[in-house]
Amino acid sequence: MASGDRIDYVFKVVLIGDSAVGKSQILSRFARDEFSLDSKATIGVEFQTRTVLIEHKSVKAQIWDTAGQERYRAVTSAYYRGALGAMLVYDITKRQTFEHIPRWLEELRSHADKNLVIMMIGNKTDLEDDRAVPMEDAKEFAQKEGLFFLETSALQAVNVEMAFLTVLTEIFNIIIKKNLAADSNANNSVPSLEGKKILIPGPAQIIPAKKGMCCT
Amino acid sequence: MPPSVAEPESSSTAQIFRSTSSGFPNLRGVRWRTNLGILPSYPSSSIDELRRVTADSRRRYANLRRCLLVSPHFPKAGDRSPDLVMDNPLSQNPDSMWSRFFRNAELERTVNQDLSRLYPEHESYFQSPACQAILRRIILLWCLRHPEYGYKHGMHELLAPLLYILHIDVQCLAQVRKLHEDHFSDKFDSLPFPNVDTKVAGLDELDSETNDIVLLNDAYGAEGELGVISSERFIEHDAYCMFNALMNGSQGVVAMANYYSPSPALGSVTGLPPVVEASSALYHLLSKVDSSLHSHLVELGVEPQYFALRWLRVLFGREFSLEDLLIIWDEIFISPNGFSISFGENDRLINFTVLTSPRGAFIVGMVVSMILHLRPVLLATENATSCLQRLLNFPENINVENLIEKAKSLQALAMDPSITSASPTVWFFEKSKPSYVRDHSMSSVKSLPDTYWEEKWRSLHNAEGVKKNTLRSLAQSILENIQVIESVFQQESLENLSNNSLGGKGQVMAAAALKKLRKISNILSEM
Repeated sequence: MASGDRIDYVFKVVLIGDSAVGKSQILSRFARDEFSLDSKATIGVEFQTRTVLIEHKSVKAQIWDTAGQERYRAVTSAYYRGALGAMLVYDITKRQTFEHIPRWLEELRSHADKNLVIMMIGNKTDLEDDRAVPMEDAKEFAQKEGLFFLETSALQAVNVEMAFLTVLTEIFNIIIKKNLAADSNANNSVPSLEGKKILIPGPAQIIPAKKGMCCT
Repeated sequence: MPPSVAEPESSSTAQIFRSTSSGFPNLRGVRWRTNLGILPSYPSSSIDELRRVTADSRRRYANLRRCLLVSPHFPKAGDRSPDLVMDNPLSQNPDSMWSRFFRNAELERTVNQDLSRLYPEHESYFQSPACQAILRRIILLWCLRHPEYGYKHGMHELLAPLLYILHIDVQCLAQVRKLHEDHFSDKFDSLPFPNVDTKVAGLDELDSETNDIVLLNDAYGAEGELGVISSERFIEHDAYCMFNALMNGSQGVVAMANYYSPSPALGSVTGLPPVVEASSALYHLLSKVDSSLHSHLVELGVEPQYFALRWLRVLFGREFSLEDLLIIWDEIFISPNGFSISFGENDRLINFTVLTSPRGAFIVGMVVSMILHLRPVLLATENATSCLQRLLNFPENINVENLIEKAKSLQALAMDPSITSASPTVWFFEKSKPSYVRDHSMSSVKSLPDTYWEEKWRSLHNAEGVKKNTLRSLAQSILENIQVIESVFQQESLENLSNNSLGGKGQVMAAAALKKLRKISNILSEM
């Protein structure tokens, strides 16, 4: 994936969500394409990186993974500093982890950058039989809050790659646009940032969620 | 008092901070229980005293277990209070049996989840149903007893090694029992009574350690079975006492529970959560012994708590194999945890609480020793995330003895009051870049402000071998020279972009050569 040593962009992405929703598994699936059944609980913060190509530029994703138990203030004032993207994870088989999403979102919005790209992830679709959070509920919430949304299975490697690439590409586009705007203010072709949020309800489907155009 | 520490007789200085080893080299559980302040030290206290203290601690645990582990389905026989208004499953009263039960159930789920992932590499012991049940009960009881902390990931990994070594002690005892069966057995029934041929060996025939072990574990000694020091039946009780002592610190300085707390400790001068305060203490020590590595990490924005949180919370349990970990814990526990006498009335303003006990100073010394072990790779790494990745993937199969030796010399240094009282650099509160960004070592070549400490540390370090040090200092001086040349380059290219004396191509080649030199310097310092 990585092309030589040259890195064009470095993006910091944070992973948050309740304990045991599979944050570390999602990360190890993305960074090393691994899944370990007996992985230990994260204590504090862990770190992974992976370099991907986006429009012929190499983008290094630095991903910070925190323990779900950690209220970030206890440990560090800088956890969200410099983060351009966030993966907000819940477990589709545990309703409570979904109900805590607004709290995590509030924490993100009060401490992270305003332009943070946020992807909500419902993990563990391999446990469909135990599903406790209907996809419709999550979709509706994501739409209301203007979040990207995907359901994933770190175990079966479903949509994990997609989730990260979506976030990284979105960050990439925002930065390109910013640069373009800075380069030439008079350029009218710069698309507006309005309605940029995209809702992804199911495997590999991308549905633009502009106002008034609902996927339901 | 700085002059006393400045003396070069390092070995004796380090010795002051270590309590004399308390007998029983083969029974780690007995040693640790003594070091953690559960058992009185032997031989200053009698064997009977040890047995009585043991029995008392087990009684306390049994009581606690009876009181706290309630199941609402089985009301205790004596306590018939069918107050169905309060005690029903839908009751909102937080004191009702049922709501306690539900709270416990929730806690139990979290604990079970972590326990099921505990030490997969030692599965046959830790994953056995019996072991899991013991671990679960101890954690639940401790958390119910200390609701202000609750359960946090990692607590179970502080407990697991304690249970493990008690288990090893029992096994070790079984071997001793086999070897000296006569002294443990009381099956005289089958012996024809006045048989002159029967060899009745007296206890005095045994060496004194074995003799003590026999007496400590004699079911007919003081307190009977309950006083048997290493007993399979009371492993759970003993593990709880040890875990509790480790978490609460037995009135000493280092109380592991504090490292799980988000709020500052009582009477903290800094007002920082203990884990953050300890993290700043270790960077402070690092800055004294290796200012260039320290400023490199600070410049990159590698905040110490990002990695130290895990290192401290489980006392290095995630960084080493269990075998190595036990050796490290031997050293941690043998260092006394009391407030050191080297701090007088004048040292009230101590900013790094952790450094005021030999145990805390050793732990911080160990952290710094581990960072120094990674020195070359850290210096060669140019961004925070990669540094942190290195720090949180500590190399396997390394020589722990070396790390410990280094940690001991750092411990002695860390306990110098001039270090503990220094005002902490609370750089992690700054939103912008730290103000003392490394200025490419130009100034450090002219005047090395920290040479005093660097030299002191090196002199404490002679044991490691002159050759190694020469290589390292060679590497260091190469690195410093490289940095000087680089900074000259940078200044030149900034100042005379137009009439650059070194041609563009020449500069590129020189830069490449410097890169190679840097590699050589790293290899040398790794040797």
